[in-house]
Amino acid sequence: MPQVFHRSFNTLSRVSVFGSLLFLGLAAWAASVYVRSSYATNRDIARDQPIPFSHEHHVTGLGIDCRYCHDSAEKSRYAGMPATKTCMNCHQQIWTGSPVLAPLRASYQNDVPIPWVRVHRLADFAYFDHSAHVNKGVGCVTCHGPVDRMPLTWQHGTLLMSWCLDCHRQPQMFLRPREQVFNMEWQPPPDQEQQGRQLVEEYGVRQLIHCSTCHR
Amino acid sequence: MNLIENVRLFGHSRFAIVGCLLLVLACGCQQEMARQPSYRPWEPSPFFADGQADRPVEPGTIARGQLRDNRWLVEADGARAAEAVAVLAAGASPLGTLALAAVSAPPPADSFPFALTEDMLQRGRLQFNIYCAVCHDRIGTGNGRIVQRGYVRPPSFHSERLRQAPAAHYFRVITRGQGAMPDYSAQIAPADRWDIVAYIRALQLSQDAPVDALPPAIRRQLVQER
Repeated sequence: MPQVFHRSFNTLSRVSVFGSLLFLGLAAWAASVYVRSSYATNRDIARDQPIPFSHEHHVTGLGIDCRYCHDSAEKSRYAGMPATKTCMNCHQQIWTGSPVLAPLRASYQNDVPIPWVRVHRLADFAYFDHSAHVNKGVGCVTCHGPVDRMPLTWQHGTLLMSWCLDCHRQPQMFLRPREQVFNMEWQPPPDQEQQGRQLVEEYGVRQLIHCSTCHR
Repeated sequence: MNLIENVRLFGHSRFAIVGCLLLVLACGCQQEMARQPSYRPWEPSPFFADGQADRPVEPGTIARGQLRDNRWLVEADGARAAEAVAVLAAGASPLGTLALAAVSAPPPADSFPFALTEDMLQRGRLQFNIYCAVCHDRIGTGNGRIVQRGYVRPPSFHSERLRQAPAAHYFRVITRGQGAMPDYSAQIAPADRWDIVAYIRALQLSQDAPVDALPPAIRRQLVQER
């Protein structure tokens, strides 16, 4: 019986076997890089807003506390956005003629909300309660990053499930005393793990890593 | 075609079948579970005329549990509750009007609708420093950062007129605003407003305490410094 395949097909078959394995590996790697990239997660991308609101100016420059505007952050499941009225508390007298604030005045006069672009959006299948985190000693900075130094606001964390689990698996490494939650300058002490364990004990923090904690 | 080749061909087609099944998994890569058609708070909606998914609350609505949250109505004794009710009515809140129908009482003098505790003062300080200090500054002289940026300067809390003003006056101003000051009824809960008023009283005392009222140790220190 004559040879059906040429000898070079031996090499070809080896290349295709190992090559396809390599391709699958590369594809898996590329996919894992993609889902963590800021293109997929929106991390570190400053979003354009209808009014170029600067947290840096209002927090660092003027010393306004987070809660002056985000007054439901420690009371509600949703952190909340300040009403136009809250902006107008000051801007009825300050920067009154500024063209930058024209959308704010239009919103106030016509009773129509400002269409802010959402910066943090969790997947709809994840349950999340903002007040629970704040009241158990998770600092603003821990999830939102240095907002006091953001001219335009960007998302600091990846909001991936692994990002949530980093803290849920070992809360003692991330918690701070309740009175320091809104302190943007707070640094973890050298013995954070030990102090964190005390806070976990004191605040009754549980290691919530069951699926149904968030996917209910 | 011999047996061996048949087996080999079958092996190839099985590989193809498994490959196709793996491709089916890629269907899971879409994000419909992550972006469900149900509304989240503050989302826009093309369905309603005002373009918002959130529906406005009917005027006069009292949220479930809100009545009991007002501790001066629930926990305070009769006389104090009556005072608080009058204050609330003065604040023109539907809750106050409702409660006024049940209890009629003379308007309050300078009193708080509940006994003050250290915790309330601490809470009052916290709230004052968040919401009030931006203009009134941290000791209440009225020279906060926002005033430095051009806002109308509020009166100092340490004038004779404001020292004499009843506690209910401050509650009313926080609730309704006065002059250049906007109202804070949406940002500060009623109980917190009372805590802030209590803290304002503490601030006033801090700038106007007679030397004799100080604890002996601190008085001695003061005399030495002089």
